[in-house]
Amino acid sequence: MQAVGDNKKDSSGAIAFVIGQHELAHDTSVISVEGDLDLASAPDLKWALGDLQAAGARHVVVDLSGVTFIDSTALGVLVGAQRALDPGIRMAVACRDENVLRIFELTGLDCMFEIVPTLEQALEFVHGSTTAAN
Amino acid sequence: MARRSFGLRIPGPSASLALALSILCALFLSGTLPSASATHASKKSSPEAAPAPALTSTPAAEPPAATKPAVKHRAQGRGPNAAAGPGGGGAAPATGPEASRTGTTQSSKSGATRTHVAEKRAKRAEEKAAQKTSSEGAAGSPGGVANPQTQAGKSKHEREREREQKRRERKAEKEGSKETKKEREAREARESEEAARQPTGAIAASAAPVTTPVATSTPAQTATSPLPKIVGESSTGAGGPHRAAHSHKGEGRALPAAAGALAAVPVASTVSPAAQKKPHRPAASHTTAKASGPGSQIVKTVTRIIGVVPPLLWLLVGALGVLALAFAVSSRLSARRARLLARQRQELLEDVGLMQAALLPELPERLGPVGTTAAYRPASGPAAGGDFYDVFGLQDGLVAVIVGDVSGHGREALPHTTLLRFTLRAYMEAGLGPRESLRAAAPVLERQLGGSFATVVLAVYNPRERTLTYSCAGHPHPLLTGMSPDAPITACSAPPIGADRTTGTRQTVVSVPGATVACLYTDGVIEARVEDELFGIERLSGSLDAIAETATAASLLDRVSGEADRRPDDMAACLLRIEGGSEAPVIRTEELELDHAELGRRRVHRFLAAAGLEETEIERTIELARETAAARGSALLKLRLEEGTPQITVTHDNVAPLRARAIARTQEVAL
Repeated sequence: MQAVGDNKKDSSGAIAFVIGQHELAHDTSVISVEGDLDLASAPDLKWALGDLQAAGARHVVVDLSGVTFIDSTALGVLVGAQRALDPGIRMAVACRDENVLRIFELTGLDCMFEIVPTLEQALEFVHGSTTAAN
Repeated sequence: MARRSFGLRIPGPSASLALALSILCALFLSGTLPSASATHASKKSSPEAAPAPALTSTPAAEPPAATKPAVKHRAQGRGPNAAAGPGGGGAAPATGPEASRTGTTQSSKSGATRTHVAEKRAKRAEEKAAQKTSSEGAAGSPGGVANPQTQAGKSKHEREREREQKRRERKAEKEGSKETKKEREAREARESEEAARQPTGAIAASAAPVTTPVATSTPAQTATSPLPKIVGESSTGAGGPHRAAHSHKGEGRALPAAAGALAAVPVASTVSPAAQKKPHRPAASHTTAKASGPGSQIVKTVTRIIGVVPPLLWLLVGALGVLALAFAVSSRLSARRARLLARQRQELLEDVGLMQAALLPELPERLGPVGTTAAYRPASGPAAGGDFYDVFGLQDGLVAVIVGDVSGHGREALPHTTLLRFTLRAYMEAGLGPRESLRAAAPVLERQLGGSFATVVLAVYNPRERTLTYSCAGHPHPLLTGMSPDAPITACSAPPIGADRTTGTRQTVVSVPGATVACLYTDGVIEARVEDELFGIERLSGSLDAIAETATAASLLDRVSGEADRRPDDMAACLLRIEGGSEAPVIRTEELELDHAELGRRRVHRFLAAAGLEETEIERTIELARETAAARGSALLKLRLEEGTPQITVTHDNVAPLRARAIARTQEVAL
C-alpha cells in the first residue's frame, strides 16, 4: 500500500487523515481514506484519483469506511472524479458511516455514486457482478 | 631577585589596589587620550612644562611631608644635564630594591592619589624597561647605557609617541586626583586581577627598579631641552642598563605590555626615594592648568571622559551610531511603506466591498409582510468566496429567496456565483416556481459552470396562501422555527447543479399558519466545527430557536461563529420573519420527479417509506411511476402530507415541456 496523503493532526486537533492506495488486480485499484475528508484533505484525494485514472485503472473503489466526516469540497472532488471517468470505468464507494451516508443523501449525491456498505460489495460492483444498490 | 620579589609582594591589599587603579588609569589616558587633549595641554604649558607629567609624579611617591620641598629640589635639579647615562644607571641597582620597600610602604600611607601619580610616572618608565627585558632577556649590557647617541638611533616616530605619552601622563596626573573613588576601585580590582595572573611578567619586570630613579631624573633634566630629546632621554634613561640592548637595536615601543606595566608597579614605587632628591618642577604646569578657569574644567572633564574610553569602545560607539542611523532610516521607510499599504488595503477593501455588494446585495428590511435579513461571514481559512444570496419580491406579493454555494473558492468562484444568482433570479422572475426554475436553469447553467458545481436553494413565500415553497439542489433544506429539522424528507434529494445528473427534481411546500422564522443558509454554517464535530443541522436549528424572537441573519451567524471553534468555509444566511399566531409550520407536500434511471434506485423506496406509505403502496406507486416515465419520459410524484395519511398522486405533469420552453426563452434572450 502506498500512502498518498498523510495529514497528521492539524492545528485545531482534527483527526489524522490518511489516504492509502493499492491495486488488487492489474486493473482494479482501491483508494482507502481514513479521517476527515474536508477542505484540507480533499486535494490529496483529488491527486490520488487523478493518478488512478492516469494509470489506466478500469475498476475503482473509493473506500470511505474509515471516514467520519466529508464536506462539500471533498464531495466536489468525488463528483469531479466521477464525471471525469471514461465510460468504461466503474467506480464504487464503500461507506457505512451514518453521518457520511446522510451527507451523501442530503446533497443528493447518492444518486451519483454506487454507495455500498462494504469493500467486498464495492469490488463486486466494479467487477460487474452486481448492479446499482441505490 | 629574591628581595625584589619580596618587594613586589609587600604592598597590602589596599595599596596594591590603589596602584593597580592608577596604572590602569594611566594606561587608558596615555593610550587613548585624543589629540585634542594633547594640544590643550601644550597650549597651556610652555615647551619646558611639557615633560612635567613625569616630574610631578615623583612627589607622589614621597612621604606626604616631603612633597613640597621635593618640588623645589626638582626645580633646582633640572639644570644639570642629569647624566641619565652610565652613571645614573649604574647607581640605581643598589638603591632599587631597598627603595622599593620604603616606597611602597610610604605610598600606602600617603594616600591613593599620591600613589596613583607616582605609580603612573614610574610605571611608564618601568613598563618599557620590563618590556625590553622580558622580550630581549634580562641580560642588559651595562655598556649600552642610554646616551644621546643611542637615543638618536630611535625612530622619530617613537620619540613622538613617547612625547605624546608624557603629555597624557601629565594630564592624567592632574586629573587623576579627580577620579572618583568608584572608578578607582573598579580599576584596582581589575588591575589586581591581572597582576595575579602575570607572575612571570612581574619577575621579568622586577629587573626594572634599577632604571626607575633614572627615569624620574630624566624628565627633570630634559625639562628645559626640546621635547624630542627629552623623550628620547627619558626613555633611554628608563631603560637603564637593561635597556641598553634595546637602545642598540633602536627599537621603538610606545606602549608597554600590560604584564610589564603591572609588574612594574611595586617596583616603580621604589623610584620615590630617589626621586625625592630630584627637583620638582611641575608646580608651574599645575598653576597654568588651574589658571585656565572653570571652562577648562569642563573641557578637562569632557576630555577626561573621552580619554578613558578605549579605542575598541570608540569603534563600538561608532558601529552603534551607524546601526542606530540604519535603524532610523529603515524604520522611517517601513513606516512609509506601512502607510502606503494601509491606503492600498483600504482601497482594496472598498473594491471588495463593491464586489461583495454585487454578490451579496443589501436587502430591504421588509418585503411586504416578510421581514428579511441576510448576512455573510467569510471563512476563517482560505475558502472565502463562492456563497451568494438574493432576496427579492415577485408579482402578487411573493417573496423569493436564493441562497447558494459554488464549488471552488476565491477568484474563480466569483463569476459563477454571479452567473447562478442572476440566472436563477431571471427564471424565478419569469414566473417559474422554485423547482421549475431549477429544473429549467440547471442544464443551462451546467454548461457554463465549466466543471464546477453549485448547490442552491430557491424559495418563494406566498403571503396570501401562507406557504413557503422551496427546492434544493444538493443544498441543505431551510430551517423553520417551530418545525423539526427532520421533518422534510431527505431521501431522493436533488443533486447539485453541474453534477451531470438531472436536478430540480424535488420541491417541498411548507404551510406556515403562524409566526415563524425561515432560515436559508449555506453548508458552511453546518460545516463549522465544534470540538472536531460538525456544527450540524440540529445545532443550527437549536441556535435559531434560541434567538427566534429577535433573530437576524447576522445575529445567527455571530452565534454560530461564537460557538464554533473553526469555520473552514464561508457562511451565508437569509432569514425570513413571518408574522402570525402560534401555530407551527407543517409540511404540506413533497414532490419528486423521477426518470427511468432514478426509478431503478433504492432511494425512491426510502423516499416513499419516509413519507409514511405502506410497502404495498410503495410498490404500487413505483410501478405506476415506471409506467408514466416510460410513456412520458418522467413521472412526478406528489405526496400530500398535511392531513393524516399521506396521499400520493403520480402525474406526468413534469417540467420537461417547461424546460424546452425555458431553453427556447433563453435562446431568444441570447438573440
